[in-house]
Amino acid sequence: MVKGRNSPGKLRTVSLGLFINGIRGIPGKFSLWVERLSEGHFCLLLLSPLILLLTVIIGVPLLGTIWVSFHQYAPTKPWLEYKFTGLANYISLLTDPIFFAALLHSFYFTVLNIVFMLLFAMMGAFLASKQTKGKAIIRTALLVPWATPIAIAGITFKLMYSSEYGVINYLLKSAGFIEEYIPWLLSYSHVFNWMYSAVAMNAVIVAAVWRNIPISTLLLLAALESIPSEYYKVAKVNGANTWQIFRHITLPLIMPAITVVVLWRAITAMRIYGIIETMTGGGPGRLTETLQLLTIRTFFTAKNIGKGSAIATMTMIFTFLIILAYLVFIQYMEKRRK
Amino acid sequence: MILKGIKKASKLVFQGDGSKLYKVAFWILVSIFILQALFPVYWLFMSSVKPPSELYSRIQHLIPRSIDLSPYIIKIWKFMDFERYLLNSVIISGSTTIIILFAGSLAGYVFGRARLKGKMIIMLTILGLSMFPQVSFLFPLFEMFSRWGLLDTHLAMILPDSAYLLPIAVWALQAFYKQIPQDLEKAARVEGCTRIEALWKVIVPLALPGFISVGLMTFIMTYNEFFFSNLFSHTKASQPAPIGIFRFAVGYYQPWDLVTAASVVSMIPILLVILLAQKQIIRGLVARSRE
Repeated sequence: MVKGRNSPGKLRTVSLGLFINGIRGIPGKFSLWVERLSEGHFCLLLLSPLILLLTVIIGVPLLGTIWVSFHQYAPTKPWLEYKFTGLANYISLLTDPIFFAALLHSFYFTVLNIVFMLLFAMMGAFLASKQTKGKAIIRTALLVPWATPIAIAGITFKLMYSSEYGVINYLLKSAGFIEEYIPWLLSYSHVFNWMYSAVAMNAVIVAAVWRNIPISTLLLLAALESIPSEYYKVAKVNGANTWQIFRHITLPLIMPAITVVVLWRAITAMRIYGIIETMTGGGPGRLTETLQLLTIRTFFTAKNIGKGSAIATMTMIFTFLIILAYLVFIQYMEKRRK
Repeated sequence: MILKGIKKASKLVFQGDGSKLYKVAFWILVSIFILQALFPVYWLFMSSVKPPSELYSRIQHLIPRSIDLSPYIIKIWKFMDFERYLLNSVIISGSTTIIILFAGSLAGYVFGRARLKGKMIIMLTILGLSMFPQVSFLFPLFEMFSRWGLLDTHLAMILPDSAYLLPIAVWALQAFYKQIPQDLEKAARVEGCTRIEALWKVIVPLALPGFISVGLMTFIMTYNEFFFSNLFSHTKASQPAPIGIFRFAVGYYQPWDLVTAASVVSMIPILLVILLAQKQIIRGLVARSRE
């Protein structure tokens, strides 16, 4: 058979060629089209992937959560549509001691986390800033906790805290601090008199602090290093002692960094989930259940979507207040820099 | 009070005149600091090479008396299908990094260089969005994904991860863009480059170190992500490595030899990246909150 003018093979080749030509033309045409855009529209075009992603994945669901929090919805009963119930979810929330317990746990976690993290981070930053040799080692060592996946950090600490074969119990017992192995993550009664009922929570906080130290240390270190060394020289020439130098030069200059670190940590502590879920799962009982955990339990275990959304909205409000403080602070810093 | 005391003491130690006592104290503090950072990972590794008789013993030697490598050689591949989880991890983190670098480099350009009214407000709104806890948009997202049939697929983690980490990446990237002199771009435009050419051929190559920093940072943060991967993936068809290990570790029977060995294997790529590129990573981490 001879291939004719209109044989399908040839047609396919021609259309393929046309298609390729069309594709080749697209970048040029696109480029021309972009040239004709105004400055504002060009910016909008560049921002469009970001805006699309953030709107669909975060923006709309965020509003959805607020909307659902005023409704009643149970996914196990599909015949019940979303029913408007006004403030019923919030009222049931505010009369629920479990919610306030979770709030207290979140608060306790946040405060202790920040205090200990800051203590260690300051120490690490000063150590690293004082000597070049120490700095290289500390920096490398620091990145390890940061790069440990949350789940693996939680699992590792769970193994270390184990009441049967945990290394922490073994070391403490060999050193003579404790007489019996303590089930750290299962303790709900007081082990030591001053640690009443918070043993499991404190154990979780240790793990969280361990994982949070690196970033704070690196930020404080960057702040420390940005202080010109002339300041110290001048101060020394003028006869200031080390404490005076620290109090009147170092501290004021790294205060912005400290504030940023503290606020940032407060925001992230509101969404603490992974480390608690992997170590205790909110137990024993509900003693390590924070707001984020309670919300997820209400969604997926109790299947009470309305109430869960109400808790999420409350968490949002708390976070918003912290963010507001953070933003106001950033603006204030900008102004002071100018 | 205590805080001040410690600061004072440490300050005295560090600004000493280099006598022996100061040096000893300094190095003791440094080693305590390094020890606390490395001990859990050290312990994880040591537990993974112990034979079960030592692993499940009340007496835990800091250095194991004998070594059993069978979890690494056989067990985690045969009983866990661990390669599947690793593959999921790489797919999820890799795609997220690409999406973030694409969307983030374009947006970072606008925030770092373009003159736009209300730029600061848009930037702060975007940053604010990423600061809300994940639960605040969890349930509608879950409903959306289950309706679109996305649950338990890689996309169910790629999309939220990229959206949630994007603002931080943009914030860091715009700081890198700002360092490039404005004149370069103007010169390119005068020479007859189109907007896209100026962006692609002049600005992007100069911002490349920034891209590398942010890319590495994003990759590691996505690899370590827990929230979305724990709630949106249910089987090993989509679970990334840390979640797979976690699911193995929460049962009543805890196979610690498998769990620890798998944890070590899943951390190897990350540790390699850190050793090879720690400077870039630190630069990215610091840049994101310098502003």
